Amino acid sequence: MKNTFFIALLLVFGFNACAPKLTLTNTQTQNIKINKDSLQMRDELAFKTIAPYKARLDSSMNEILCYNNQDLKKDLPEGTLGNFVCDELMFYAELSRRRSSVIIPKSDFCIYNNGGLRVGSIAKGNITVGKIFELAPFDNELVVVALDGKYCKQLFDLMAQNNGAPCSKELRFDIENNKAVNITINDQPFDENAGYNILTNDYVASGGDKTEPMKYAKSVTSLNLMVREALIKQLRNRNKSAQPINIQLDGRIKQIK
Amino acid sequence: MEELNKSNRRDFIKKSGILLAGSAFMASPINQLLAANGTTKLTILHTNDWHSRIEPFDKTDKNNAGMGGAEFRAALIKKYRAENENILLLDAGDIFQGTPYFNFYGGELEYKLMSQMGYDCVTLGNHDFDNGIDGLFKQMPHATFDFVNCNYDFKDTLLENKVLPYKIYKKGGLKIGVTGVGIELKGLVPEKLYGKIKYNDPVENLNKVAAYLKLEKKCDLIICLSHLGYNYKEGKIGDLSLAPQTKHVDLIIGGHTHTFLKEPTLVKNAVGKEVIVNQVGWAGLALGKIDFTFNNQQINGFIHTSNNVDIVDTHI
Repeated sequence: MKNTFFIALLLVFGFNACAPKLTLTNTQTQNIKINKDSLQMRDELAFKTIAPYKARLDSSMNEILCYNNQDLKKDLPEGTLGNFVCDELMFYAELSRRRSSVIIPKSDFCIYNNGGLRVGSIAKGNITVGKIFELAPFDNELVVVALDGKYCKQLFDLMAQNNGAPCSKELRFDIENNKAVNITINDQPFDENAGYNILTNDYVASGGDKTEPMKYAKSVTSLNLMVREALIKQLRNRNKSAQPINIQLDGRIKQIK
Repeated sequence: MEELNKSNRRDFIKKSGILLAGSAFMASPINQLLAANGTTKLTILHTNDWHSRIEPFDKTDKNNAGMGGAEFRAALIKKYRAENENILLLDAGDIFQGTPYFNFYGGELEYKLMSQMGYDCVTLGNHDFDNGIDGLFKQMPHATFDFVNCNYDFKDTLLENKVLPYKIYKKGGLKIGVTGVGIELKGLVPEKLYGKIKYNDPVENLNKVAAYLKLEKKCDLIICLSHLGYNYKEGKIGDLSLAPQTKHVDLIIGGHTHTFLKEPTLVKNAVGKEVIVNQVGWAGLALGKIDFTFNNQQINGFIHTSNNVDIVDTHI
């Protein structure tokens, strides 16, 4: 009898010991910085894996596109960097439109979101491919949006409320009490009853940055071309034809009191 | 720092004091002996929102000069592997997009490096779709790790059966169930990129999978890799609003909001148990490390200690 009890006891504990039910009893956590200076070590395999990719990338990124003879700065209501991007995009979009086998409307002007300019400035000197990647890292495409004049006006007022936004030289207006006034397009007075074709990126065209009026677009035509790609090609062309970048502040958008 | 650890520990013991006290009464000498023999340790290492930051940040960077970099992360992981037998290495998504490495190579190098580091499992973030479903599918042969998500329906897409609803890992006698939840793609990712992928409710689907992993598959630990984001002001589901609606999830590893947590947040779940929620910023600037100790003591609740000797900068 005593033996049976002992065996039973052994079975119970023995079974427990073989297949214990594990329970979580302690946790310890630490979020650690990856800091090469404090780590003082690197992984050779990772380093070697990266090396050929880095070498190819660096050779592409270091390609000099063209010479820039002044500091380009992001600014509002008007900045040289915004003027540069929008004017170059207008130029290249027209070139690309003429070459295209599909029908793409001719753009009247270009607008761009200020937040979409991802660097604060581009210094005087050579512009590299890498710099354009920094300026436009996202894969946004160029599109032409056909929009009725009254919605264009809403868009200009939105830009005015934000103390301006990057635009090409074809569009000019003054900001008075947060509204766009004295608007001209290609030196012609803006006509609210007319329709306009706006060159922009597909982020802005789809209502990004609160560009609500864009939802009333009559059509949106893709150029099948990324913003970054267009800028790189345009700057390469400039270099070939030896035309330096020459961007001025021309008061296309300005505050009037 | 020692003081800080002690006080954290004290606070937590206080919280679950009743449960611990109850178990102390039950502990007989035999149980204690078994406990000492039956202890198993598991270390979870994790990252999120790498965003193709292969190299450390440039010297000229305002906040993170010289920080991050895959070759340094790999070294740190190797160090922990030498110290710990049972390691799971996980990522909560947005591996792709952010440097020309992604524009040029489409994520190939990211997946290769993560495979070399020995990542076990990742979930998908919105930016992982930046080259479309095709672009993601194309890179998968470079990955030796698993992809999990339980709230996207991949039916009739290339990712069907490539991204699993869950995966069970066995480490040191432990069964660890890992699943993932993803953010609503509509409005965040152009529709042409995510195609036919359908977004379903993360709470409902996570609970379904977690219950299955716990009750049917008898997992000892359940981990959710989340790309929902840490916390939102109203309405939108984030990790902090997800955790209280779960029953079986032990750990939520988050992403998307690039939140640098100095230490994980502990949230009570639907049955009053603590869920650990952690997130380590972005860009491979930090590595999260959570050590779990299991033994066969029958206690409810666990003792939690935070060791933040190397607090991460929060100004991003």
